[in-house]
This record gives sequence, structure tokens and C-alpha cells, in this order.
Amino acid sequence: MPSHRDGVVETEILTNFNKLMDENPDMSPAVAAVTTLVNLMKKSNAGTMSELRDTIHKAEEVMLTTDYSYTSIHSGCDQFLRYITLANTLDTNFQKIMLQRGQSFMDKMIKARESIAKLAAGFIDDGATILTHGHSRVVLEVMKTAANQKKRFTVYVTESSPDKSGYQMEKELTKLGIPTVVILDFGIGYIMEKVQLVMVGAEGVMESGGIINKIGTYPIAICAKQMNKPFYVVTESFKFVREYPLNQMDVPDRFKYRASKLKSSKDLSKEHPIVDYTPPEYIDLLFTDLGVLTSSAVSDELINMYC
Amino acid sequence: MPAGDGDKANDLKERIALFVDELKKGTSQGSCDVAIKTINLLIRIISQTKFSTEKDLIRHVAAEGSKIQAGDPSENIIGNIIFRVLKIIRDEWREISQANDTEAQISHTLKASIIEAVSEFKTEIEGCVDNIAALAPNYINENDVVLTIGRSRTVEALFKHAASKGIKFQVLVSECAPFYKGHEMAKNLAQAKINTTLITECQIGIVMPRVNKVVIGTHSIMANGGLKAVTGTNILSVLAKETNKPVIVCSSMYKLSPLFHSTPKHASFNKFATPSEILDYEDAELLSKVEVMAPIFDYVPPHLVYMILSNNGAQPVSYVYRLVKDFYHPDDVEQPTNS
Amino acid sequence: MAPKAKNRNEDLEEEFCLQAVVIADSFNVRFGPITYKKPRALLPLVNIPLLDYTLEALAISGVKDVFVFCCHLGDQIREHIRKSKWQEGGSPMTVTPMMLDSCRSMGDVLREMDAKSLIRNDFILITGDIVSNMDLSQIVKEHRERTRGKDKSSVMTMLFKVALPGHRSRCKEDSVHLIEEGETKRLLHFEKCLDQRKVKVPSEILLEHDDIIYRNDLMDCQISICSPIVPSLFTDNFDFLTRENFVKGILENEEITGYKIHISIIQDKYAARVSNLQTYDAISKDIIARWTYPFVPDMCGSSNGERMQYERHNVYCSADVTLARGCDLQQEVVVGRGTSIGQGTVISGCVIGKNCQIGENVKLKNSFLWDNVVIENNCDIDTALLCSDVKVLSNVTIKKGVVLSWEVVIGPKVVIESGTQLMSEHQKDDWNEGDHSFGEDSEPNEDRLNSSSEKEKPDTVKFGSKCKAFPYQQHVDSEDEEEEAVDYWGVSTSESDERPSEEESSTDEEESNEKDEEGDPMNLEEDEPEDVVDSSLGFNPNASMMEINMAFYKELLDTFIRASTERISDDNLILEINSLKHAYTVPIDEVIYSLPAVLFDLAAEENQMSVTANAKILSSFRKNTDRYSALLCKYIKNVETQLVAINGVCDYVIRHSDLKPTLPHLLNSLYDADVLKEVTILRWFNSTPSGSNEAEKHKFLKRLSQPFINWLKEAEEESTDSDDADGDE
Repeated sequence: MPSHRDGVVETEILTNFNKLMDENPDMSPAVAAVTTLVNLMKKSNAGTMSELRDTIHKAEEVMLTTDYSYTSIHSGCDQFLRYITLANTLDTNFQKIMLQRGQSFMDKMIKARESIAKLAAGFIDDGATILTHGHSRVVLEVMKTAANQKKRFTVYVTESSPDKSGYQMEKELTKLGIPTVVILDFGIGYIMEKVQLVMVGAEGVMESGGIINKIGTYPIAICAKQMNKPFYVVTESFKFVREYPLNQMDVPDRFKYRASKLKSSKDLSKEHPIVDYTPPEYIDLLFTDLGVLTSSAVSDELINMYC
Repeated sequence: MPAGDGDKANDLKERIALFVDELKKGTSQGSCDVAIKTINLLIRIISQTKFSTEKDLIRHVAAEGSKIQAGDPSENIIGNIIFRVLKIIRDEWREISQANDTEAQISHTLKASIIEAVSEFKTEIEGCVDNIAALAPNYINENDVVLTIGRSRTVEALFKHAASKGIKFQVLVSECAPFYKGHEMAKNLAQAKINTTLITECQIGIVMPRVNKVVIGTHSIMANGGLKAVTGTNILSVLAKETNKPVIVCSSMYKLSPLFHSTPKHASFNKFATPSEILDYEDAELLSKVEVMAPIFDYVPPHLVYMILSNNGAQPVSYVYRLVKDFYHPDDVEQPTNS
Repeated sequence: MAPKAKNRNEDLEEEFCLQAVVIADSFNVRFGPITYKKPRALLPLVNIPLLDYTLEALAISGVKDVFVFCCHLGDQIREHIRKSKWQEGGSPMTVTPMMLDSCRSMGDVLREMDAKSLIRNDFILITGDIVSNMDLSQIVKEHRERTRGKDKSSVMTMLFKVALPGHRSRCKEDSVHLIEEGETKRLLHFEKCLDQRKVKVPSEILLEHDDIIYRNDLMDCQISICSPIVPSLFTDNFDFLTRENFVKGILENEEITGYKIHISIIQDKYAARVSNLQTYDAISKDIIARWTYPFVPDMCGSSNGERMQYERHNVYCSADVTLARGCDLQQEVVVGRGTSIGQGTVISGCVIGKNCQIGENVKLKNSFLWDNVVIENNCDIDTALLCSDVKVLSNVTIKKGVVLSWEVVIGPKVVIESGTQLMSEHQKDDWNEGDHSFGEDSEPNEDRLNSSSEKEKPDTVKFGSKCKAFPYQQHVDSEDEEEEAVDYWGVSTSESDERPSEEESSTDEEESNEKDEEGDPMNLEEDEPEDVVDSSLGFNPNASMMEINMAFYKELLDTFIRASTERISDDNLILEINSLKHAYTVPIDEVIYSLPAVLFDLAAEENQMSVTANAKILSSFRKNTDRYSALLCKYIKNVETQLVAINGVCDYVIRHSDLKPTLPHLLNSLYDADVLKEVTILRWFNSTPSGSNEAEKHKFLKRLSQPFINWLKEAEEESTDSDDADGDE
């Protein structure tokens, strides 16, 4: 029976989380979630490890009810928990230690984008043409770094229905002085012969090495493969998820639909999902803060993380 | 003895300068030769360095190593060896610091064990070609028609070993213009009494249906499993893929590079030689009107390669990432930026 | 570092340490407005100093010891070497700069070298501006085998590269043609030919050797492998100034000294010398097209920590280059560090140095920009050389073939005409001395400045309102052939008046059919107009005239003038004439041919008149012939010599057209002086020379001399007839 106190805590978590996301539109939901958790830990007075773990789990569940990316929040919190509980728990000062570890995990997450951008920018040539899909903060960071390296390149970005986030991407890129063109979602077939490489972000990386990303990524990947253009994915390592889908239907619903949609809708067959799954054979390289990985290397990394 | 040290240091400098010169002139005798020379230099560098922590040693070795690499930025083997040695240093340090506690003890045994480990590595390099050649009977069968391109000492050893085991097979060697190294390969194979035919690149498409397998050497293997091989290999692999012939790459593991082939313009990927191989200098009329490109290397994407035969045995291309992780430490490796 | 002692014993293995001598001064002013400040060996070629290319070329050949001889601005070269990688411990090659201030030619340098006894073994002789990727050790080995083996007299092996005429890297001024003996590769004849169409070859070569090859398809790389006696040969012969002198001298004196020169022809590798702006341009293009691999911009700079990226169409870009959007590096461009290029700029075929700033909408074509050059917006530059720190303000158009020296500022809104060379300071007079050692004045000579500072203000009309530019006058030393002004870029730009005289003298050579083995063919009568077939004469007078050495003629005339004033006896006079003959190596025929002419000139001189058909002069001539008849008879003894003398008189008359009616009188005087015999005169008169020109000429002369001949015939019949010689008719 959830007590009154729990409810207060819940709403607090929610407001904190939402506040963080509103104030920092550049922040990944995972980072916001972890920040919230760290703040929670500071205030919490849990006595034992399991109590603390429960608190965190509950907080995670609360955040998952928001409409932000399920994958990010879920994997972020999951990894956070694993990371901090790796500490020596016999120590009575465990809270402080866990807090320290939590803080360092958070710092690592924040720096992740920088290191990814440095790696990926090396693959962008002077004079390149890049195709990207929708609005991805990591891709934006990569392009910012490449532009700072005095490289001149043009970007084609898909409109990306239904939320038309492509326009936002275009605005941000133009602010950086990078010539950008918004194309129709189905214009990718037309434009593919002109581009030199395709670079997308990811909402989640599956154990197979494939990715979950905004719907429309899969057809782009197929088209790129057919026309022999390299398809690169840039993503942080906290988006790695322990799932192994074999096809589109295999991907669990909680990844495919927003939390609010899941709650309200009865017949999901009439709803179109907001993400799709791109199998690993279409992906050339993944740029993560763990380094540059091939699809086959992803499972190894996951094993390292979770075991 | 400061005087003795000064002498040694100068001697080392001279050796490094000589090696760098050799790299610039391009007079090295092949990949194995470059690898052995690099590793000899590194052993000297390590034995002459005074250091307190392993970080100092690593930094120093990396600095000296980059001077050697500057002699020829497109020669990956030098980088590979340096990174391997750095990893060895890290591994040894970890082992020893776990066993001992005092710093003095550490640094003394550290140097000795590093040099021992590096010497082991050197022995491994020296025996690479033979190890690969020993795998020949598994992969070359009776009455096989094998296609190769250019000259690779590893592949040559492989074929000779198979022939010595009494296997009767036929080899088609593509001559590899414009440097025509294939001619030498064909001659050597013929001298070993192997049924050899020399063909031009244009004829590869025609002979491919009659071929059973393609066995090639390579200059380097990139971290994504792609190859940096001699010009013409890409075409060969594409044609092989079309007709579903397996492309087997024979390469020692020191040729595996932790670097990625990032872009077509990647600065240290390719070397462009002099146009005198293709065009005569005397021809004044043509000189100013014609642009001649003579690239030395080709990039072969990983999906065109079937398997890698190395001194560790046979590996699929998708396994390369694992090997890279084993051999190299990510902190040492800096992907070259092409800005 | 002293060269290691050589083991001269051939039985033991020689510790052969290959040495090289680099002469870092060219002793000419082909890079006039630039080399007053920086020596030629340090000028950047594709952003790397020329001397570095030379040293790398030597390093690749396994040279262990290099001596760099510096004359003009040698401190800079010494400093450069000191800072270079060759001075670091562990460098495989030792480079020693040697300062020689007083040398004026390559010969002087080699003489100094001989005096210092630096070289004890075969060495490579090279200038400081060579670009090569050839490993010379093979050629050195061949040379040494030659010198030790059968042909101990081989002194030098010269390197040539096959490059057909018209090749862009072939220096027009240094163009050579030579004859080699096929099998032994021995050099038999060597001549600089400024793209002439006819050449003269000593016939002994053709007669004595069976297997000869005449070559005009070679480019002189200016690299030679010399044996150790070469410096001493220079010491022995003080008039050896250049390598060409040396080669010619050796070839000419081959019978006496027995020394031979061999050649070696490079096919696959590259070697060339930057001798003038045209070759600077061509060799830069060769380097960019990678003919000099591995000495190419993306591999050369790596020792300095600079990495250039090689892109398609031979575009090389350094790190830290800022390229604006819309700027286009089309092809064959090299861009140095820190340079920024603005929007809309189009660049092709250029080399750009470090830290340049190029504005927007600039068109750069086939140009060379050194460091720190600023080019503002909307400029248009075609085929120009801009030295460091030049500023080109906005809206300037620079036409082909312009050289802007250090720190020049031009513009805005101006058009610089073709072929202009500008400096940032007014040209000082002592730079005009032509060749060598214009050292920088550390304390400027006030008097000199003031005296030559007539035009201190820059010409703002020509070069722009904010300009700082003064034109450079190239001083050409007309005695030295090498200084002839030739166009710089292969583009015809109008240079000074030297060109026409060059053409004149070359056509003269074409006209004269006679072989000229001795004497200088270039020194023809420069004072007189000669080319045209004189229509009044009906034949080409020059076609059959003997060439005479003007200097010799003048000396001869002076001697006679002196003789009359000082009353020198005949015998002494004969001695003097003979010594002149030897001094100018003039054939005896020419002496005889000149004598009558000299006597007439003498007559004119005595009367202080110019040469005309004047009675006074004629009588003086008669007097002269009488007085010197004994002397003349000593020279003119037989029929042949008399004919020569007659030719001399006739040609003289043809040359001085006013004298045409006096021919009979002249002949008469000589007849009376008993110099010319009747028989011979009549024989000459009645001869029928072959060749249409000759026939015409003879007809003309016959016509002129008819009166005298008639008189002679009459005199024959009347044997005791007295003088009736009256020249005037």
C-alpha cells in the first residue's frame, strides 16, 4: 500500500525530472534520470542496500511513466544501479561510497558525448555530404566538433514525421553555420546517391548489435546498404540494452510506444510505433564512449557491463 | 657513467635516424623486416630509458615511437608494434605490481620482464610466416586452382609448403600493375615447381569461374576487418564475391591495426607513388595536360573477405574486433584525425 | 668535421666515404630582385628551401660528408644548416658550411678547395639548387670503376636526363647539345646552344670515332661526379670559371692531357636544377605532380612536424588551413600552414606559403606565394612570383610574368603589366654590377644612397596609391653569354635590347659556311649592318667573306699606327704581328687578308679622315704600301697568299661601298710595291668561281677592277711603259 509519504516522494521525483528535462533540452533523458537518482540518494535515509535499491527502482518506475524515451531512462537507471552496487557493501559507510560512485557515473555520462564526437568527427571529410534522421543531440555534437575542426560539409536531414523534429535539427545546424537541407522522409531514395555517409543517433542498442531509433531509420539503412554508403551510429554506452530482437515484431511494446499511449490505448494494432529496429548487418560502425565498435563487438561490451 | 650513456644515446639516435631514412627511401625488405627493425629499436629504447612509474615509460616509448612513425605515416606496422609493446608494458606492470609492493622492486623487475616479453613477441614475429605456412594442407586441396595477386612472402611460403607436402595444385598470379611484383612471385613459385600462370588484372574476370579460391596477402588489416592491400585487390575481391569464391587472407597478427579506415581522403592511408611508373617524363606534351595517380594501396571492405589465416589459426573477419581488444589498449591508440 | 683518412691501397677493401661538394652560390643574377636579401639556395621551392632538396638528394645517395661552399650571403646558409636536422647527433650525413667571401665563380671555389686539400677521393660536385630523387651510388660506382680500371684518365662523369626540346623543365638558357661515344659513354663534344638550328662540330670527331651519338634531347642536371684531380685542374687553368669552361677545356686539350669526360643518362629517376624562374616554375610543377617521389610535399614536411594532406588533383593542404565555403582549390595547389582563404576564391596551379591571407573572390593561377603574403579581395593574379610579406591590396590585376620582391605593397585598383619586376626599396647602384657578392650593407653608405636617390617616391600612378614598389632594372653583362636576358616564364615578355643582337649574331653564323675552329664566332663586326643582300650589289656580300677577329684587327691597326709614330723597324713589327697572331690564335690567312685593309685604315688615320675615296688617303695608302713592301712580301710570297691578299682588298672595298671606284688604284699600289705579281692578278681576274653568289661577286669585282686590268694588259705589251697609275676614274 503506497503511503502518503511515498506519493510525495514520487511527485517530487517527477517534478525534478521534468524540470531537468525542460531546463536542459540538450540533456539526454538518461542523464536527467541519473541526476534525479543521485539527488534522491543524497536525500534518502535508507538503512540497507536493498532498501536503497528499492527506492531507486521505484523512482525509475515513476520516471518511466513520462513520455521521454523509455530505452534511455531504463538502461541509464539500470546501469547506474549496477555500477554503484558493485561497491563493497560490507562497509557501513556504504551510502557515502555509493554516492561517490553515483557522482562519478554521472560525470562519465556527461562527458560521453564529447569523446564520441571526437571519434566520429574524424570520419567526416572536408567536403562531405551527410544524411541524418530527425533530431539527435549526439549527432549534433559530432557535427559541432567537425565544424570546429574547420571542415566544410553539408547535411541533409529528414523531416522525420510525426513530430517533424527534423526542422529543429536544421535550426540548430544552421546556427553552427553548417548548410542544411530538410528533405521529405521518402526523399531519402532520391538523395542517397548524393550523400557520402549516413549518420544517425540511437535510442537503444540491442545485444545483437542492432539499434532502436526513430521510425524511418530502418528504410534509410536498407537504402544506404543498397547504394554502398557507410551507415554510422553514434550513441552513448548507457543506451546498451539487454534485449535480442529477431525482427520488428520482437521488439517489446514498451520500447515502441510512449508511456502515455500505452496507458490510454486499447488496440495497439491501430497505433503506429515511434521507433523501429535496424538489424546489425546494415550498420557499419558504432561510435560510443567505449570506442569505435563493430556490430559484433557490441555483445562483448554488454557482457562486460552487466556481468 | 654519463659518458657511456651519452654515447649510447647518440648511437640510438643514429639508429633511429637510419631507420627513418630507410623508411623514407622505401628500401625496406618487406613487412617482416620493418617489424623486426622496429622492435629492435624499441628494445633498445626501453633498455636505455630510466623511469619511475610505468606511465613515464609509456609516454617516452610513445614519443620515440611517433618519431619513427613519422618516417612513413602510411606504414601501419610500425604503429602496430608500438601499440603492442605499450600494451605489454601495461600488462607486465599490472602483473608485477600485484605481486610486489615496493616501488623499487617494481621498477627493477619491470624493465627486465618487459624486455623479456617484448623479446618473446619478437620471436613470435619471426616465426609468423612459418606458422601460417604450416596451415597450408588444411586449406589447399588436391587439384585446387588458386588465384593470387602481386607478391606476398606469406602466401609464397604457404604455397611452397603445400607443394612440399605433395599436394598438386595450380596457381594463377595476377601481375599487379604498375609495380609488377606479380612477376617475381610467379618466378619464385615456378622455381619451386608449382604449376604457375601469370595473368594481367584484366583477365581476372575471365579466369574467375575456373578458380576454386582466392588466397591473398595484405599490407594491413584495419580494425573493422577491412584490408589495406596492394592496388588491385579490391577489384579481385569484388569479382570473387560475384562468383562466390572465398577470399582467404594470409596475414600475421602484427599486421592487424587498431586504426579504422575512416574516409577516402584519410591522410595516412594511402601512398601515392611517382607517375614515372606510368608516364614517361620525356614526353613534354603530355606532362602538363595529364594528371597521373599512382596509389600504392587499396581498401577492401570487410564483407568481401571470407577468412583470415594468421599465426593464431583461422579467424572469421567479424572476430577481428576481439583481437584488437586483446592486443591493444584503447588509451594508447589515437585514431588519426584528418584535419 | 675533417674527412676520414682514405686507404689508398687498392688491395685492401677501401673504407670509401662518399663526399660531396655543394656550391651554394650561382654567381649570376637570374633571380635578380630577390637574391639581394636571401641567397638562392635558401629560396623556398614548394615551401621548402632549395638547399634542403639538394641535401636530401645527397643523403639518398649515401653521401657521408658534405661541404657547402657559400659566398653571397653565406651567413644565412650557415645558420640554416646549423638549425637543420643534419647537425643533430646521429645524423647519417655531416654537413659542413665553408665561408668563402672572395670567390666570383665556380672555378674560384674549386681553386680554394684545392688549396685547402679537403677532398681526397671521388666526390659529387653539385650546386645548391638541385632537386633529385636519384640514388647516385650506382653511378659513382661506375665512375670509380672507370677511374680505377681501364680508363684511368676519366676525370668527370656528368649527369643528364632525357627531356626533349620544348620540355617545360628544360632550361632554355642552359640548353646543351653534345656528342657522346656510344659504347664507352665518353663525351666528345659539348656546346651550349640557345635552341639554335645549326650547330658546328669539329670534323675530327666524326673522323676519329666510329660509334658516335649526337644528342639534343638531354637536360643538364648540373650534377657531376669528379675525380680528385679536378680541383687541381682548376688551379692549373685560371681561366676555368664555370663547369662549361672546364668541360670545353678538357675536351679541347684532350690530345695533350689525355683526360676524358664521361656522361651518364638518367631515365627513370628525376634530377633537375632550378636555374631561373622558368625552371623554378617547371620544377615546382614536377614536384606537385610527384615526379620527385619520395620528396613530395606530403612526405617532406613530416620531419618538421608538419603534415600535409594529399588530395585528389594534386592538392596539398597543411594542417590549420582555414578554407571558407565556396573557395575552390582546383588542381595542383599547395597550401602552407596557417593560411586562410576567403570565399569565392579560385586557385589553380599555385604554391602558397605559411600564414598567408587570401581574401574573397580572388583568382590565383600558376603563381607562387611565399610566406605571410596578404592578398585582399577581388584580385586577379596570373603567373606571378610574390615573395614573403608582399601585400596586394584590393582590386589589383597582375598580368603574366611579374615578380614582386620582399615586402612590396601594390594597389589598390591597379593593373600591373606583364614582365614587371618590383622591389620594395629603390635599387642601389652596386646591385647593378651584374654577378656576385652584393653583400648587404650593414651601414648604409649615405653618399651612395643620396646620389642614386633621384626617384625615392614610388610611382603611384603605375603601382597604386598605397604602393611601396620600385621597378627593378636587370643589368646584363653583355660579355658573358649567360647573362643574356631571356624571357622568364616561357611567356614572351619584352626584355631589353639584347634579344635582337642575339638574333643577329646567330643569323650571321648561319650565313657563313666556313668552319670556324679557332677564334670566337660571336665576335663579328658588330658595328656594321650586315644582314641584307645588298640589292645594288646583286649578291650577298657576307656569304663569302672571311670572318675576321675584330679585336685582332684593331690591335693590328694600332700596332701599325704606333709603328709609324715610333718608327719601329720592320723586323720588330713582324715580331709584333706574329705575337698578335698567336695571342688571338688567328690563322695566317687572316693576317694576310687583313694587311691591305689595315694599311688603308692606317692611311685614313694618318690623314685623320674617315675611310672614303679621297685622293689624299689614296696617296697615303700608296706610300704605306711602298714603305711596308718588304714586310708585306715576307707574308705574301706565293700564289695562294697573293690571292688571299687580293681577296682582302676586294672584300674591304665591298665593305666600304664608297671605295668601289678605287679598287683599281688599290690593286695598282700593291702591284707597284711588288706585293702582287701580274701573273697572279690575271689569274685571279680570269678565274671562274663556283656558286652563284661567288660568280656574281666576281663579276662585280671584275667590273670594278677592269680599268686596272686593262692597263696591266697594256703594260704587258709595252714592257718599258712607265707608271701611269692614276687611280681616279
